Amino acid sequence: MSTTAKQFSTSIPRYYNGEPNQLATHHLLVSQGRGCTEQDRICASLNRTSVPMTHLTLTDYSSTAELQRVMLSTLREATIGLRVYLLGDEDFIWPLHALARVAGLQAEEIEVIPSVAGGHSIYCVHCSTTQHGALESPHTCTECGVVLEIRQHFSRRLGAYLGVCADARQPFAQVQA
Amino acid sequence: MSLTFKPLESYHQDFSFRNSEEAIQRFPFPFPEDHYMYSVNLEPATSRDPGSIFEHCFDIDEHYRSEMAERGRVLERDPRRCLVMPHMQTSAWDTLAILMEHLSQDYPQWFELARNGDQWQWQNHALGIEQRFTYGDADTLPCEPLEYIGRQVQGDFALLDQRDGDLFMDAGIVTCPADWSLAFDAGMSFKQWHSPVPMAHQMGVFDRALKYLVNIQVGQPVRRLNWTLTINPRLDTSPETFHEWGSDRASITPKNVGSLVHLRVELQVMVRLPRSNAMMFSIRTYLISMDELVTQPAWAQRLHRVLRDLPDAIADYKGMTLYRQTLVDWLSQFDSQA
Amino acid sequence: MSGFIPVRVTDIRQVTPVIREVSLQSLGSALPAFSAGSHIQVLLPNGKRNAYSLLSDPLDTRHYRIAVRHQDDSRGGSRYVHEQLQVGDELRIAPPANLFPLHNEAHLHILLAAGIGITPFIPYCAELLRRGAPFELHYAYRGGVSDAYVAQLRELIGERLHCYDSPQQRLDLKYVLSNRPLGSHIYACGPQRLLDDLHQQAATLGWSDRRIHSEAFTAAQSGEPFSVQLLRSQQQLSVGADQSLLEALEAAGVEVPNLCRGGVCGQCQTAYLQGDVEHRDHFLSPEEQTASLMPCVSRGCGQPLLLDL
Repeated sequence: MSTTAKQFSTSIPRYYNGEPNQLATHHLLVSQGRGCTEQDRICASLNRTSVPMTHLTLTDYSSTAELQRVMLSTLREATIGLRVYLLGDEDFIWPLHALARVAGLQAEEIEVIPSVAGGHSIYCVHCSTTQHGALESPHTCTECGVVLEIRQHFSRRLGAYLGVCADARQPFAQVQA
Repeated sequence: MSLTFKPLESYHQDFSFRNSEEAIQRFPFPFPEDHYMYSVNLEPATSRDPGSIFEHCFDIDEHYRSEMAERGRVLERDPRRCLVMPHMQTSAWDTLAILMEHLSQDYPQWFELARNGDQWQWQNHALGIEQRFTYGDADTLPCEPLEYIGRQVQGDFALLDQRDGDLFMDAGIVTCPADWSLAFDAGMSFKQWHSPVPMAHQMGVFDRALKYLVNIQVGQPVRRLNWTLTINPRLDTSPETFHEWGSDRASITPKNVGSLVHLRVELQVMVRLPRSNAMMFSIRTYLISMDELVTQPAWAQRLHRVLRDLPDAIADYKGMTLYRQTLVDWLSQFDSQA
Repeated sequence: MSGFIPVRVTDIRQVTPVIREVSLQSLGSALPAFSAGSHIQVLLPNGKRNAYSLLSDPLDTRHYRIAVRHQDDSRGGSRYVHEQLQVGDELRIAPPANLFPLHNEAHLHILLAAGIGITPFIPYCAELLRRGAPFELHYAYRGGVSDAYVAQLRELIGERLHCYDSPQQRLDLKYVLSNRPLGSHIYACGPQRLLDDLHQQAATLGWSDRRIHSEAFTAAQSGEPFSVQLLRSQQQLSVGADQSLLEALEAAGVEVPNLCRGGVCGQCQTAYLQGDVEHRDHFLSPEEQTASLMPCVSRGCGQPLLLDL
């Protein structure tokens, strides 16, 4: 039986354990910068390994889209042996994760490190939009207005938790007087 | 047994769907015992009991035209119900081939397939379709191959790519799911998309099932039955439309329980696709109202006991908590020892 | 293993001095379609049953073609094909199974063949060409001995073919594995030594295991005769020097699920309760080997075997 199948026994992502990959011949760290308390520690641990490390951080670019373009061109030039570490909010790291997969990295060659207070991404199953929110409370979809219950079910492809109508008897939030 | 189709009935709004006496007789009542627990209840999908749902690999029944009309309706509303990732093209064609081969062999009065190399001719007399196309060339079909054949075969289809000792849901056409979303689950591994199922992970059910499934060989399909309950004969119980149907669960009363509550049984068939090595997971759904079901006294008695003793976590997952007691009370009249 | 297919030998071709190609045609309905990398088991009239990769185009199901290398230490399977099998002979085969499929997410497929290990890659090339997928084939052989299909492949895939006529030209694994784009996957078919070298070299270059796919052309080897006792069916069997334990079980009517017949797929894993085993498989861990054996390749030695069958 494959180890991956065992490792992800549910769909909720397992996050980086802090150990730089031993097989790597090159590390690529992509970080959101702002509010990343972990960044210094991870940078330091990657620098302690004997292989080169490249660091892209959002603070050096005008927008996330610009950073994504740079990351993708870095990956197009990269060769096997690279390991990627993505650090930031869920809605920052999972689109990068999808890009890295498209660029040919295997899931086990990518580590994701969510920032502590970053909030979560929620997929509204009714209108298929992904949005920022918290997992605990009902979340009102910013697009279709349905009040969502967030299920403990996560899609790496969409980078989001599943949100489904919380109360079908009253799908929409009552208009406040 | 000759196959005839009922006039069009609906799976929404006025819910005119009903089973004939013959359809009730061949309904796959899923409980071999008076209690239910998860198990890896897989068996070789060999043909048995002529006329039963187990005779052919892909069962076509009296509801064929209605179900295909329903699939069309759902796809018009929500095209995300059919999804094929780029690396699944070969599997999609493989699916079309195996379905056309089986249907034309098993129901020659309704389906005909003629092949000359990659030049194929398909006739579906049940829906009045005649199509010449080049196998492997999607431009010669009115739509992508999986959607094309999916609109002509009852049941949902998920296509699983096998790699790294695991199965990944990378394509499918799913318009009658029991509360799961293809658009959300697409790309997930076997255990990831089963993540919401309670208890079974801890029991090791999915470890054993996966080990079994990755070793299924061409020509040796396996099957299992799964079940849940649905209010109204509604095929599309997807999360996408939950806000439209979820409240039905609150409408059950002792008066309407017999006509509104339906036992929903899925005949799941796992088939290794020969040309792509992908796994086809076909999910053929059968619905029966409680009124129809209790015409079979043994089924009524057993269903009473199963639902009465079902663990709460499973009842909750299957969405029956709101009306379970009403249903169990109503069914108890058919259980002599209740 | 159900549903053997009766076939007739329609053609036999000597491809190199040590490699024979055999074409098979169904005696009944059409042969099943298959995916690139599949193999079939062939049941020979002398009772031997070996697995061979299919080398025909997966879309051509009128014939199956296999290629068999003459093995000096043959237990009788390859020798039979080379010395006795005739056009017109009727055989039975098991339906195709695939233990060596293409990885559908790969962006670049690097194929690595040694000698008769070229066989699964012939349908690979046909399929990859059909898909328009980038690939290259590295093929090591001995010129004039095991250089099957070189001309045919050159015509089919042109520059994508890289030949290594050993011992003059060496296949340099480090070179093949270095500086590869991120979506690369490598597939190797050859002797176990090549596969071991590949895994070792790949690891030092940072390749994760899941990018490496391999098929060893292993088959049962001869050994000393031994005897075996079956607990549940209360039988005593003797296994001949040129017979595998699996073949002896099958001859006695005891069917054990199996696919590769070479100690790699794990299907025929069988528990033993007593006795000494010479383990020859590449599947079981040392812990597992204390209670299980793979009867397709492993043999009894020393204390007599008692199987839980």
